Amino acid sequence: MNRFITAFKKRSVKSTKRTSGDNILTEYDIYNAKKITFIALSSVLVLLMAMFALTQGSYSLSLKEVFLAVIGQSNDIAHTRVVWNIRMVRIISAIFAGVGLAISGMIMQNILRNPLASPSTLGVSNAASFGAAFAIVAFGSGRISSHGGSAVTFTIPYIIAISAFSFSMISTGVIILLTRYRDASPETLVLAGVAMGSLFTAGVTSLRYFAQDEVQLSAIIFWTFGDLGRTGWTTAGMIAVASVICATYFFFNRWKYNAMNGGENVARSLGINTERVRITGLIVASMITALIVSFVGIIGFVGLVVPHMARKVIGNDTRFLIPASCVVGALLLLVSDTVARTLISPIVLPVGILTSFLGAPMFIYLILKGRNNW
Amino acid sequence: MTLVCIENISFSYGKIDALKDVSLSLEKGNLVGIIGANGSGKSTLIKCLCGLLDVHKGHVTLEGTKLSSIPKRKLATLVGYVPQIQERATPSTVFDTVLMGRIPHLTWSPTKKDLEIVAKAMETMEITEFSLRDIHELSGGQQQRVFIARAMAQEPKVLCLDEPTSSLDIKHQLGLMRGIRDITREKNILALMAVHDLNIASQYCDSLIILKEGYVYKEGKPNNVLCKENIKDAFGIDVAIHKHGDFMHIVPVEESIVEDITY
Ligand SMILES: Nc1ncnc2c1ncn2[C@@H]1O[C@H](COP(=O)(O)OP(=O)(O)OP(=O)(O)O)[C@@H](O)[C@H]1O
Ligand SMILES: [Mg+2]
Repeated sequence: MNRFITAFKKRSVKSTKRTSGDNILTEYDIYNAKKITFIALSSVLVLLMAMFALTQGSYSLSLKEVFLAVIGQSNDIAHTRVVWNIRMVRIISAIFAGVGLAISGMIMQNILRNPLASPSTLGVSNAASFGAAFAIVAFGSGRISSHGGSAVTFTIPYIIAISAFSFSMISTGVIILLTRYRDASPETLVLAGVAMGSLFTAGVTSLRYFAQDEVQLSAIIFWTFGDLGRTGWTTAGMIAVASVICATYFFFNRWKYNAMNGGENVARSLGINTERVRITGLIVASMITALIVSFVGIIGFVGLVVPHMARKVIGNDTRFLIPASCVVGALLLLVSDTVARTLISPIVLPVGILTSFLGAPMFIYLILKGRNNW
Repeated sequence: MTLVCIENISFSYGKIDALKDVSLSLEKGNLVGIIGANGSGKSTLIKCLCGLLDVHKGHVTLEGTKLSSIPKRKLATLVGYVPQIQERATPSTVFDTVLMGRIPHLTWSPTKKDLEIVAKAMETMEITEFSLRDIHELSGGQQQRVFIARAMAQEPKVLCLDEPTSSLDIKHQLGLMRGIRDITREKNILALMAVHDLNIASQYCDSLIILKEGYVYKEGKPNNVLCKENIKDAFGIDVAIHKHGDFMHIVPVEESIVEDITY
């Protein structure tokens, strides 16, 4: 009898243990399902926002007119022009510049384990903008085109992008060197980034004196505050393709970034070559930043703010944080740009001004929160 | 059967020689304790075994293969590591942290089996109730149990633990020691553990290694290694050893401590 009771007890212990194991697995599934739902809902929101943005602007169009123009059934050629050549390009640029900037900020934050990292706080954006301005002055690669008022298009966009990337590698290089010192704190890194940022801003300002004509001058000035109105289909396409490629690259490496979350030695004991992951991650992130900056100028703080917004909901599991940052980045930049276009219409504000107003307080808040509270 | 063979390894941090000509042969199915004073080289030895540090002289072999010739990712499926000090880490839930242990085994995403291994490791370390909490919101000891669970989830052949009991309460210290010992038997793996508590070490470890200033000072069964003279030599304190059947109880003798302090 006693034996029977013990056997029974044992079994019941076992069975409760099992259910507890199953429980945490179900719990975990639900937890992850919530993240996926968030990403899906945000994606829908991006689409809705894009549709709304198509209707907004100085030339007023109804949703129906927009729809007809999008599918090419509009009778009015002006509608098709406005929708496709002006608004659609701008919206595509906003979405994918948002993706690119957000993803590079997110990757920088995770691989450096530094909540303050982002293309703008590490000086990468400023370096890229200097590179772009430098290319204009040195090679005369920028020209203002007449369409859309203040829009600048580029005769040789590749040279600008390459120059932007080359200069952004200076900031990236300094950051990589600093990370070799194990005790470089998050704040140290960001201070170095800010220093490099102001150096390159000064560089951009001084380039103005070398501008050969007003065209170049205005092109340079435009760089300091990013404006999505400068893109054409080629540049928007390049931003889109590059952002998608980079995001895919990061997604393929998501387990490496997850291991990096555990800390330097932990990641290494999990078989990760941390040095290599850090360097390649920073280079790819700088590349996409440089490309975006060279076509639309500096759109500050998107790379800083968006990952934190996504993290609030998703946490640091990069399997979900990577897509979530992409979607939230797209949404934030699209909303900001639509606001910038319509706030004091017909004047179109550069979207960079808006994101800076949003980002600077967030940056200060993060500093006050301290390094352990992301 | 010999699993890990350490042959004449030396390691130095710049001018500081942390390990000097260490040779050991460690067998499967054992819990091996490393004891020694602060700075005697325990952590360094463990890091050399995990491939975190590359030895300067000599070599370590794992099942006959040189450690340096095993790709890091493969090595991570063979050797698990629990660090002594938790470094700066990005916030992450307990489950996700333990899941990291499966990363060396993963291809695209964790299978059901991977998740079950994680759940099992969490049950063993009694951390299921914290599953979705952030590790930074746990107490030091709870965190330590999470990191041990992560190393267990790796399902390694060699489990290296650097002072895993240092911030555990007495119940969890005993639970951990028993748990690790059982795992070494069940899965026929080697656990190598740096410990400070000599009583706990003597009670649970199959054999002990005493390090002193980077040398292997003594190695062998706890009962043989832990005698007054050896402890005096390794730690510079006088102790009294009481035997209770199979267990021994090591108590520092008060005067000598006072004496030491007045130096
Ligand atoms: N990163 C480092 N750089 C330089 N010297 C180091 C470093 N880490 C350890 N040492 C030195 O190497 C020696 C061995 O250190 P180790 O960390 O292996 O000791 P330990 O036995 O683990 O000590 P503890 O009981 O305090 O954990 C010590 O003299 C220490 O000062
Ligand atoms: Mg140590």
